Amino acid sequence: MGSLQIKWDPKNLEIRTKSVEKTLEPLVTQVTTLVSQKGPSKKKKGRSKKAHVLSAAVQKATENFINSGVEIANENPEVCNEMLAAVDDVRKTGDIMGQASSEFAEDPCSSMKRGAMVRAARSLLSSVTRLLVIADMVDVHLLLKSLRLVEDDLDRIRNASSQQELLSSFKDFGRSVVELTDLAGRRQADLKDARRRDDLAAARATLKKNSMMLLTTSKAYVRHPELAAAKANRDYVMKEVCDAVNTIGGVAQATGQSEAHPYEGVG
Amino acid sequence: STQLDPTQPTAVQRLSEPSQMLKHAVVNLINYQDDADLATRAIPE
Repeated sequence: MGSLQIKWDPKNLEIRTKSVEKTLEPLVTQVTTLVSQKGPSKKKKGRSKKAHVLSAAVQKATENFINSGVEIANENPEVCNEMLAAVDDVRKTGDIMGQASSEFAEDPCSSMKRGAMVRAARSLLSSVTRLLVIADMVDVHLLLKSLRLVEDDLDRIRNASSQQELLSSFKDFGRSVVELTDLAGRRQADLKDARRRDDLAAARATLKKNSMMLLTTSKAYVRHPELAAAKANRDYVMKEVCDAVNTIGGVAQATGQSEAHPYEGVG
Repeated sequence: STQLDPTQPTAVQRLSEPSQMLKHAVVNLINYQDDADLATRAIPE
């Protein structure tokens, strides 16, 4: 299997899935609220630990986040570089945050030091966002890997010249298509874009509907390769399945806003 | 269904908890100013 190229630009912080959004939304809201807060907050006072303890907690949490990122990077060699670059970014902004928070802890009444720390927190947040977006790329990458397996199995089914060869290829196809459908289903549930969710649902339905037909038409074709109708039937179902697989790959890698379907809108 | 298989968490899910913990740590630290303000106001001139 060749190396998989992901078409995304990791510098683009577009959030395409609900799980990334759900992880980040409270983070963005809370830091923004705190930064824009003018007067003292209405929170109960006097419950905080010492500033140094809180500063150390931030550094520890950054370290844990980085460790998880490195772990995922090492498990996915194909996207390891992008992932490690994002981890490095978190490490750098985390160091700046650590420095700023230590200075703030020394002098918690200084608005200047608090301001510097808030700015550092924003940069840290931005690099955390990037790492989460790249983690999402890793999930897409795994889906594409599964998709390549299905494509390979489809090639074997297409070129099978005996019933035995066909059945063996179809058995593998059955396994790989179940995995792909499962991953595509998860993606469908997670995507923010409604049109793309529909496209994935339609592609999964096509796969489900045509998989058994692919077996019967392929059997007929292998038995009677001389019959044009048998070939036409097999080719039709094969095309349907391949189109569905291509749709899944396209939707998984799609960026930006989806375009309206020609049938959408006022009739 | 939006339910994902918990036995095979996605990469994003694996980062979700550490990023939430980091968020809480940052928010706690930034909130510390409130206590510092209170202490300043409590000191008589």
